[in-house]
Amino acid sequence: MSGKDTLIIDLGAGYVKIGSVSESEPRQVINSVTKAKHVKTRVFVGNELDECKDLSGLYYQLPFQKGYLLNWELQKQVLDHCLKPYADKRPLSEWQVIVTEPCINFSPVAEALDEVLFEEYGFKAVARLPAAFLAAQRDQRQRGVSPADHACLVLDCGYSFSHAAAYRRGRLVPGSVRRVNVGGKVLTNYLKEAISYRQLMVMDETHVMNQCKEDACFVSGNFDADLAAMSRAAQRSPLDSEAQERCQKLCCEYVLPDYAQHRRGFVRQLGSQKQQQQVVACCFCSFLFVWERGLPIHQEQTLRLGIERVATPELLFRPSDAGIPEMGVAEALCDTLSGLPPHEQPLYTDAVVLAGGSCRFAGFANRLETELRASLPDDFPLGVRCHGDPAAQAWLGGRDLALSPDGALECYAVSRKDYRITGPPCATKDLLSLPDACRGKSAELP
Amino acid sequence: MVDAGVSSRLRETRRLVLDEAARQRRHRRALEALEADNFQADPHADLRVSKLAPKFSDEASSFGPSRDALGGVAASADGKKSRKAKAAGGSGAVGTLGGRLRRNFAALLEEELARRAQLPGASASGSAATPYELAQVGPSRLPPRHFCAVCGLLGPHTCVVCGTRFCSASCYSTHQDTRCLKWTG
Repeated sequence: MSGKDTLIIDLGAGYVKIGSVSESEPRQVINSVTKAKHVKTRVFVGNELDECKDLSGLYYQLPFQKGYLLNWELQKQVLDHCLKPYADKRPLSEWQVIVTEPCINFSPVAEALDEVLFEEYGFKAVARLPAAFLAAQRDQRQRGVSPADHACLVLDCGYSFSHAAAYRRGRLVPGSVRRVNVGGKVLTNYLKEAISYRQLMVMDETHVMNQCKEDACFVSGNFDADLAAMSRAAQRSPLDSEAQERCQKLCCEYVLPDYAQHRRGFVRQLGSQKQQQQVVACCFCSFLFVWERGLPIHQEQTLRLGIERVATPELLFRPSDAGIPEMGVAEALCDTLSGLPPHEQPLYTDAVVLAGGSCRFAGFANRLETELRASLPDDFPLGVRCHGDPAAQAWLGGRDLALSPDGALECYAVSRKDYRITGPPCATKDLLSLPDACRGKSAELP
Repeated sequence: MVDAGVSSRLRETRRLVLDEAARQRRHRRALEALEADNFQADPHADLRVSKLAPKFSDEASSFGPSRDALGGVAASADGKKSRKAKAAGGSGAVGTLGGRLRRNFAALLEEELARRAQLPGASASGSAATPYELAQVGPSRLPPRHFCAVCGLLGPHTCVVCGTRFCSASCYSTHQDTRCLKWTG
């Protein structure tokens, strides 16, 4: 099987990243069948949302629940929409496909996925692999480390949850997966609640607030210092230059889309004149607008953002800020590490691979490095690595796997013929517990 | 302070203080709200398919009621679904697959537990915890931070009535005026 006719589908709860091996980056398709408030005649499958004129008050119907693919009716619609351009080029029975599953999957979910891919779409071969595994493959190939020497920790922050996992020699270390139930969805909901409570009722506007989160939020290097600076500004105390800088960086306006002139909101920095007063005013903005419900300023609706810009992504590191009784992603990585053999731990910390859309926040990698550095012994090397856009890492890993000259994909792919013999699921042993043999074929790993 | 003209006796009897159980319930509801896909109900729920409209698929009835998002309001029966959605997913196998897999996540987890309990080594190994449960991280070792609900900065003080945090007297008076026991996120 050559790698040329391979499709890579990174099936995520938020977005489906899909592309063929000949493309250099995936297409991101929102994994939802969306209903618009004012359009009663149709629903929007995947990226058909671009055709919708008014993106306010969207109602999402997601095939995924809690990060697992449960609703195939909806998922089939989205996949049909995604696969159409490829099916037009060549019938699907001539494509082989790499599809992703969560780090820890349930057999009914895996069986259903295999069944649909082989029987509904009729692909030639299917390789069902965890997204974190593909990110580890990407890291190994990008850095040029030989498979026998490769060890890494993968942090996959997605829509529904975030996983920390350890990969050694191309296989998951059993018992090393840790799951934090904070992902893009929780972050967007947290931001919606904060804004709705303080300024403008946006609980219905998931799509708009998701874009606001992507545009305006970033990870602070030192959240406590930001809090202190904003508190001092709110009390109208004199600020030193560093605190001033922090406040200026945080306080901004987010112009909401009006779907007439612009379809996506944008961040507007406050004007340079009278910036000190504006900084102070920003801190009080929260309850000034409680009753004003978005009174238009300059003929547009704006949100005044301050500490929310950093408090939202902070949830990834401290879920207890929102009352979620879990440790953050940095602590989860340390927890994974503590379960590994002590003499091997430095090998893993040298490569902490970032994957997943929620790692895209500006300042994420620096903050993770700071937190890990503080938790690890001095003599451990620490390298937080991201080989491009975190959201695309799993997809790119799949592509690297498909294009690799040593034919590694053959080890993982199950052909339609084998599927017909064994039936779903394709491998009775999951990838976690495989000792040395690969799934599907009994060839040895290179 | 708040109701200046009312006697303190009346104020005390009128004040409803949430006990710990009620606060825990509110907290749990808030956490569930954080996990919800949608806040609002289905906007097409009251859509009626006109009798004059042509029917594209006879298999429409096999789809059953549409799945509701976690924490969201359940949508009504299949007649309310868009025709395009029905026509697009009209294959028999997916219909049965959809029917078989039409379960929520809690049921999936229960089934997995039951399956594990039936495995030969389960009773010997003691706990039949699934890998899913084992992967769940524990609580953080760092103490939780509490934020003022009104302005988002650190909130060391607690509202006596509802337990919400606030940072200063001005934030507290805003909370009492507008949001105490009124906010359901």
